[in-house]
Amino acid sequence: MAKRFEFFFFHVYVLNMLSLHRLPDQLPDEKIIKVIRRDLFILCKKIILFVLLLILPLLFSYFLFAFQPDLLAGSLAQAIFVLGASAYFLFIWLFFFFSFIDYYLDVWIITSERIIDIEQQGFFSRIISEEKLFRIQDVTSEMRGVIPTIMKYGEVLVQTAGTQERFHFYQVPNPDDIRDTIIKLSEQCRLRHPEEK
Amino acid sequence: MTFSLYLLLFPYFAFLFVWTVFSLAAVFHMARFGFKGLTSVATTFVYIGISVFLLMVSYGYISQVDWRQEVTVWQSALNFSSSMFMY
Repeated sequence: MAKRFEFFFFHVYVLNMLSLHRLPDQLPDEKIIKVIRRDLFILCKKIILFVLLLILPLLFSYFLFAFQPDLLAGSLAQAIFVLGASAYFLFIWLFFFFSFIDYYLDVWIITSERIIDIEQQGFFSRIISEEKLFRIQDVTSEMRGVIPTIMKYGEVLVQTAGTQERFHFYQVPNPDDIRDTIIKLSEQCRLRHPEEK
Repeated sequence: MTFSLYLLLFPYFAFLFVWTVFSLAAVFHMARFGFKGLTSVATTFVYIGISVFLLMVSYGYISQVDWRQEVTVWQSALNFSSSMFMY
């Protein structure tokens, strides 16, 4: 049984996972330049919301029982309170884990040869798209709003050749630096692949 | 109207069933689409650990309630609301 679990764990957790240090179909000279996730502030916002959802009902209950100690004297009130509290805390814990998954599984990888966009869209739906750097035509960075400007996060839009849709890096830290990096790398890539111009 | 308290457990178990399905889906998601490294494994185990803890605490409190007790809905509701405005 233990061996079976070990095999399952190894098979599911280790073999099937995507490594950010060894990309699928990696070219011989390809180097990973940047692995980008959404800004840490976005994760902090989720954590703050979770802590608030955790603390507010506890505070509310504390003050309610301070002023009304016999509120749960009745068996019906006690049963509803216990079941409600259990369901509430289980729900917000699951909600927080979903939020973390949403944050953690959205990744943009910039290599010396291409951009890879890995995006999780709900459950059982993952979109992986990639584009060669020499095909990039236009890179735009945006920081809109007070908080993004203060926290230095924003969007990077990458337009590639043809009618293909833009790559959209959203809520990423230092979008200007990312734009500069992509432009620099795409120019270097064009020099290495003059036939692809 | 009088009913047994254990009837309240049915919607709770229905919620637990849905919660378990979503939890398994979330863990599967991390296992299938996560990235190789400590973060994926650690967060999954932290999620499972805290979930088990929450379920155990819930069981501790739920087991203290006498679920075979009969309650009269409107009577209890009136008692509940009158106790709210007693002071």
